[in-house]
Amino acid sequence: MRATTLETRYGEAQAWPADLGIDDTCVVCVGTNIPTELITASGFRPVPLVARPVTATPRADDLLESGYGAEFRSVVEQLLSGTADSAALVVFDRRFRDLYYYLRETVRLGWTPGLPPLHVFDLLLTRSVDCSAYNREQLRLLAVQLERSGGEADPARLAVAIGAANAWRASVRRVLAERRRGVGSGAAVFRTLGAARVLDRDAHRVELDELGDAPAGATGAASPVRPRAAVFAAETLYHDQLHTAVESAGAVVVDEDSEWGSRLAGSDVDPDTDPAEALLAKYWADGTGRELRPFDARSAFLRSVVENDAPDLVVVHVPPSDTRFGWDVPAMVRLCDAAGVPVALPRSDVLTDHGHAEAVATVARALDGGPAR
Amino acid sequence: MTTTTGNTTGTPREDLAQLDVTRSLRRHQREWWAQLKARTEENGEPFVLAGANIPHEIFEAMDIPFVTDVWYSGLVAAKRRSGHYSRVLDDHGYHRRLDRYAGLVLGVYLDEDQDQEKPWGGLPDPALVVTMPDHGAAENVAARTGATYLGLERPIATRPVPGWWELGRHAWEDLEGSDRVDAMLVQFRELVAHCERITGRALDVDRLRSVVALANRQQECFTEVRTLLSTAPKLPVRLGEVMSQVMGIQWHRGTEWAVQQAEQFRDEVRERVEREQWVCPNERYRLMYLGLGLWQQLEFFSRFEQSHGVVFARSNYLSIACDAYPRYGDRDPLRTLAGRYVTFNDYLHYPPWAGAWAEWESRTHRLHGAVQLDNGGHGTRFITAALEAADLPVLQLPTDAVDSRAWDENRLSTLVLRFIEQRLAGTET
Repeated sequence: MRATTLETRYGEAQAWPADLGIDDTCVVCVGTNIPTELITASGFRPVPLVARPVTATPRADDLLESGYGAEFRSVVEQLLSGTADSAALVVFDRRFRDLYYYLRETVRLGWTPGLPPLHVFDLLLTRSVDCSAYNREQLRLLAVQLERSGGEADPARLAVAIGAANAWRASVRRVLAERRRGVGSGAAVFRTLGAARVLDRDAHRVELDELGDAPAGATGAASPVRPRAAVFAAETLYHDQLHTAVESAGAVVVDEDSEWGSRLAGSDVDPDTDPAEALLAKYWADGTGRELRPFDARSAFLRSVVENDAPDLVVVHVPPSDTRFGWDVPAMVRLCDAAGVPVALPRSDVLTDHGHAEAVATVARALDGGPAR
Repeated sequence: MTTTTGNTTGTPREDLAQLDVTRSLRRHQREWWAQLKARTEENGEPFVLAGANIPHEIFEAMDIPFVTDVWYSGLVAAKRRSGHYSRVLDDHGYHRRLDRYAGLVLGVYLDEDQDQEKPWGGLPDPALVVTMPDHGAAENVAARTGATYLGLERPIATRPVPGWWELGRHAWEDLEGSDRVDAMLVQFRELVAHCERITGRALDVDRLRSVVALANRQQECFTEVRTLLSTAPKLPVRLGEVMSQVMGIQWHRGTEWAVQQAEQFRDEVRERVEREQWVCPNERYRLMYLGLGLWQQLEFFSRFEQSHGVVFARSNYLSIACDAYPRYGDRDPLRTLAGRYVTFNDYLHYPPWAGAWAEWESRTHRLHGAVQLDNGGHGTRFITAALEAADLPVLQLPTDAVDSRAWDENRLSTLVLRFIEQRLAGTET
């Protein structure tokens, strides 16, 4: 398959209503800080449930206060719409703690009889204190829950799952390295990688490998050199609208701080050590999001990009709904200023036409050396 | 037009004070603050800025000067300075939707001008900033001042018990789960290690044990106060004054002074009950207030006494002091504190705990309705659902606890009046 086909599969991941093809052989994963290799080894198919752009979330709005943004509402709307009802289990990562608490309560109150069993994989990502004993227990509890759901972790299957996941990660890393050259469309590569939401890793790897060295979005003709941009955002980048805004302004996206983009692969699970320890080490080391503490840990990716990849521009998107990410933004800007990298700070809702246009203008101003904050 | 106290229509806060302990609290706070400033800014002793969900008993046992960040924010709001420090935050790139309850402290540290106008003269630069969960602002305070930042994590509770308040005091190990308490304990040990590093002193566990015992004794006095408030024929003390007294004493939790003040508070409330000194002789409706304290406008709770006979009889502050703070178990006081805090914040906000607790208290306090702070926070829909399922009407109050930019006196008063006249009418005592 070609990049355009992967992008088509990405489009499926954006469609509403969501159809994830879930049945009782599936475990739905809300969040990416979850060791899916263990789920595979237990005989289940892990299915990511990721936010999708949607204009109305009436069921979610009944539960969620105004402080929750579009990403959480979209996830809750999918769950309350029955998207995961046929699954054997739904596993949340720590970032979705509030949703786990809320949906568990809806089950207790009898409001959502269709929801399958809910579990939370509470991996503590702090770098300030050694919580490895607790995290080890979390992995054990996940294994127990998978068994209760009808699965059975098989060591041989776990080894195979780890090997397959590592092979997929290698393919993802190759595509990311290619994109950093700044040729073609970074947004197209982002969509190509994002097809992982609807393809299993083996299928995704095969299709990524078939791309070869052809950059996504490249026409074959010599492309003008465009400024290379790295993108950071308050919410998970579950859509490509920020990317299209940046590239409409004239830059090419070469990195993004997103578990569905540059952070998709991370490091391998070490196949030569105890599988449980190896899984914990990998998922702890590659944890993403605001649960990562302290700021030095959360900003490590930004520092790495700025110091090693020399982007021409850093885009930090703070949408109107944000209530947390903004605490980090001034320090992120100072970091970029110290490195001499310009920063664009679009604050509009890029999922609206007006907001998208505003974001394009903000990035364009930054590229022109004008005020963009 | 506002008076010097910031009220637009009601009685100035000073005139609403009814208790002698309110005056003794203020005296103590002044004396204590002067000593803290002398110790930190003159003598150079290390100072800790801590979140509300951090065991202050550790600092008390180690004789480390400390202040709770969000409680200082409450002070900023009460002094009507939240607008100014919100603008300081805006000017430094912290956008307007970021929480001011935790953020005002950062505004105070960032404001290099007008030091003399900062509440109590401002805060000393900390050697350590520690919070749980991470408010975001606290880490910026540490970065600004060069302090060490320690962010602690609260393990998720997977076996909720709605009636937690009945089990927590003594059976907290079973209630919370040993694996979660262990995870909290390892973090508190790290906190102790930080404190030992900045002071050069070791924690005396026996001293900590004594401090925890004093804190429990203080909360026992608060429990007696709650019983008095909930069972008296009418309300003897205004909610704003109760909240201020409780929180003022909590600043000094684990000290002999705090126990004595709590005892005097209890005695004074008891005396008012015995003398039938009621806040509102024509009391008709008893309400609860849910959410963060309206520190910027505590007088609001008294606004409807004379016109409609409405009193606010219950808030989270006294109730959490009674139900979530006291934890007994002498063997390892640090573990006891871990048992206190591992679910503490969830009890206040999240289902099933918060709604079940509010419903229980509505019955024990003989309430007619509830007013809940609606600032986009957590769990409010479920609390409302729990209360309404028990036939208790709930009003959402769309404002902020400390941010004066969100306060619209006329709009909020109108909402409450409509609530009283349309939803409470006919239910009065």
